[in-house]
Amino acid sequence: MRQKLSSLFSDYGMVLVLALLFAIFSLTTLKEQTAEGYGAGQQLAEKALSSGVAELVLVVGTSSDDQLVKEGLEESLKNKEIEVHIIETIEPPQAKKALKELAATIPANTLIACSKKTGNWTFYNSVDHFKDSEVLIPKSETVSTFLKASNLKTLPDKTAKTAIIAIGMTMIIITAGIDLSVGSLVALATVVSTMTLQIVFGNSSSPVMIGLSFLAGISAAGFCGFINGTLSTFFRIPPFIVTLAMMLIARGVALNLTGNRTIKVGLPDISWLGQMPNPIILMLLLYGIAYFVMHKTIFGRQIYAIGGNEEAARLSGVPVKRVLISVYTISGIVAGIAGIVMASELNSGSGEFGQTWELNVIAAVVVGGTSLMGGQGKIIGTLIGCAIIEVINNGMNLMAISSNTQQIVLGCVILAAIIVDKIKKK
Amino acid sequence: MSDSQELLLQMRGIHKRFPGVHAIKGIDMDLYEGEVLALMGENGAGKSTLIKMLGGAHQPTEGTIELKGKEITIENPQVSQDLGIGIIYQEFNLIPHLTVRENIFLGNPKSKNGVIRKNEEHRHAQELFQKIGIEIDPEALCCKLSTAEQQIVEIVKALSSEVRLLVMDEPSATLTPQEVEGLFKIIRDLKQQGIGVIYISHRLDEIFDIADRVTVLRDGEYIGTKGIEEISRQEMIEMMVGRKVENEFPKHYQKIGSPVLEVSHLNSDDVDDVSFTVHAGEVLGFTGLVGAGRTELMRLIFGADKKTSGSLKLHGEEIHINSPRDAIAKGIGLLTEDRKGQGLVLMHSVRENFGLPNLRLFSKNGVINGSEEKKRFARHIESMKIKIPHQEQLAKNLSGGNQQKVVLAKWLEQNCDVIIIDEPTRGIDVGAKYEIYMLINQLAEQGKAIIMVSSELPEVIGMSDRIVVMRSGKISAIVEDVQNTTQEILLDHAIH
Repeated sequence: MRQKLSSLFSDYGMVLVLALLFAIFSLTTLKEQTAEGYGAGQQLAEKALSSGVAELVLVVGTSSDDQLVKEGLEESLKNKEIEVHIIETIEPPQAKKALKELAATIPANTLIACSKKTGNWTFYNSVDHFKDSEVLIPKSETVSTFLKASNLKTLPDKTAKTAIIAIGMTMIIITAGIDLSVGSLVALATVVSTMTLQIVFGNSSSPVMIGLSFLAGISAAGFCGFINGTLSTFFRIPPFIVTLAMMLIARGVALNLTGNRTIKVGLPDISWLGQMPNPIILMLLLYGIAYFVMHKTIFGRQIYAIGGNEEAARLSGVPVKRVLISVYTISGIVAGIAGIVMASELNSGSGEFGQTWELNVIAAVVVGGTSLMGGQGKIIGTLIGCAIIEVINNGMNLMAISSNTQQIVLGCVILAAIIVDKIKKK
Repeated sequence: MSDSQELLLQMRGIHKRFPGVHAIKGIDMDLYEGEVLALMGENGAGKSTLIKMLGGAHQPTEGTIELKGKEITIENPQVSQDLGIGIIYQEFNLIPHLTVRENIFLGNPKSKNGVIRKNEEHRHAQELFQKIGIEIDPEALCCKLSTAEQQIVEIVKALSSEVRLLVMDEPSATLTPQEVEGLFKIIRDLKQQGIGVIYISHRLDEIFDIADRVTVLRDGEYIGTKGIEEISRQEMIEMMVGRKVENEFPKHYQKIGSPVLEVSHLNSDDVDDVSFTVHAGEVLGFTGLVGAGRTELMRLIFGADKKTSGSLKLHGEEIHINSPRDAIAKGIGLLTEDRKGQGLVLMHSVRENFGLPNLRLFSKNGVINGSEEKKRFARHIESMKIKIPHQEQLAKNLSGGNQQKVVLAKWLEQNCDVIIIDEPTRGIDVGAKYEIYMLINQLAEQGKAIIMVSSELPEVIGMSDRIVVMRSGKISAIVEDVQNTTQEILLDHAIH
């Protein structure tokens, strides 16, 4: 029983850490929300946004406080594609009349937002057209900015690209190697795919052409990964050196290809892949495949064996070189995939993209419990590692901690992860 | 002898508890000046834990240690060294990319004002090697040395500082008989100087050769201490295993079948024109001094190293082997001499180790059928009596004997026709040795061709049908009449 518990902890301890971080940031980002003035308007806007309505009716008085509510709401809903109908009066009968007039032009049961004062009026649902309308009244309450839906939604968005690259990095680190070139390969993939689309396919908007240019970007990165693997196995050069060189070469090539410019793709629109929740779906799909490969296939078993003891693996008939080359190629391919997601998100390609990403990715893998000595690590751990790092970054941003201090904290987190790992093994 | 000599070390009522394990249960041990005390017991008996307490790596939970009548606490390895306790651990502690000289003087360099006096170190190292009668270049890199040479460097390293008490944990495991003689000469020298030696070995011959007294442990308990004249080989084994033992080498002789593997004119840097044949149901013993090219020859056959010329025939048909992968596909399995370094992935489970060469047998389109893997491994666990709590046990937590069985299971699942076993019982205790011998017998009975490389002459003579002796990469003799051969005859072939 005790052994089961401890193995449970070592397998899923990272989940506990993640849960703890959620708890900490939920508490540290608690904020008083007022029921009056500008803040009340913001609160109403936020609630309206999270309920996803297309129109709303705002009922406010003419006092200066109520005017601030109006301002706050309008300001927060700017460019948010919600149509706001405003009723301004201090007389309830007039308000009721205005509401009845509105009934002709807007759909039934449209959301009604009030200020604190107008919220005391009780006739809203007695108008037939608004019989089942929700009535929003600003409340003074404490909410955590971290736990707000609008914030939580951004979390996986930012993690997706790093997490995708981390799949390949995890495999490589399990073989006791390292890949420093992934950040540059991201840049190369964005450049190759956007330039292919523009120059080779003449800005064609056909999905096939767009798909092919994406494929070109992924292939370019995958090819670089293949070179990494080949050089490090056949010439026995440490992967650290080979991929360091590739990091410089790939970025240089990307910058040269573009002539230091950013390739802007105005039309056709390639942003489909980068739109939420597509990167997340892609990420989860890739993690599903990676999990299967690592734990259920011969190839996965061989990756672990090489990292655990390369000579023993070779003497057991594992084709060591072939497996290593494949692993580095996979790392290139997933970096390329992250690259096209980025190109799609930004509708552009540039040799400047993905700078120092390799460090974030390695950090995520290590925090996720993969040993740099090779032979040990879990692909799901890496996904959790990515989440931990993103949650820490996000939480610190919300707490308005400076980016300098954030670096210090992140460094400490990485050290802590390694120390915990060492203690666990004792 | 205890009358004439002074008590050097006295351990009383030593207990050691690890979380969940009571490793040492009240052990008493005495060591006199100028005596060799053999510490005997099977793996897991507590020898290593006891030694680590002297080395400062562990501290006793209970009990006292006295050195020359003064109670001592050995908090760490530095204290141990300062007290004049030298320990040669079973695992090498050499730094591969430093020279022999640098390794020897790593802990206490000869220096003046912080600058290392290389010439003096060099001279001192050479003196030490001369005393042992073995030539090793002090400026050679340790990684270029053979296992035997590294072992000797370890010994010299321990002798380079002033020691009163020297502990040797299986120093002879990797040495040839000749080198062991050299080692014993040193030990006798040390005795003369009044140094007390604790000697651990699984080779009983050596114990009777060098030890004055024997202390036997079993399962962490103290079984007894006897003068070497008062005890027979049989009695010692029985004290260690705690039951009657019939026969040390249970060889089954049986009819030899047709040729399985024919090696002709094999050449490489370390192997010189070697030809031999091994038959179905035969155990072909290979012996010789360390460096005679036995292991290198086996690696050539298995495709682990590149041959320069020569050919192999399996069941009469020529085969080409360029990698271990090829050899395995043809039905040749190799159990390496370095089980931990080359045979197993220690940090992975025994099931995964078992599966590694066999994955194709229970997978479809590259996807492993996990339950089939477990089922097949379970069959071997049962038939070989592998002692593990569950299949997910890490390979590093197994005793030597069980590790060897797991490696053997890897090749049995492959259904290899030729099984090469390099040093089958190195580092394996008496009880488990017997089981390994029985397994070798079983394999021979199933008609497998077995090549058994071993430096232990009694083992080679006791278990082989024929014996090949190698010298300097060549075959110097093939002994057919094994039952009438002696260790002297074999040594003669190995040296001249």
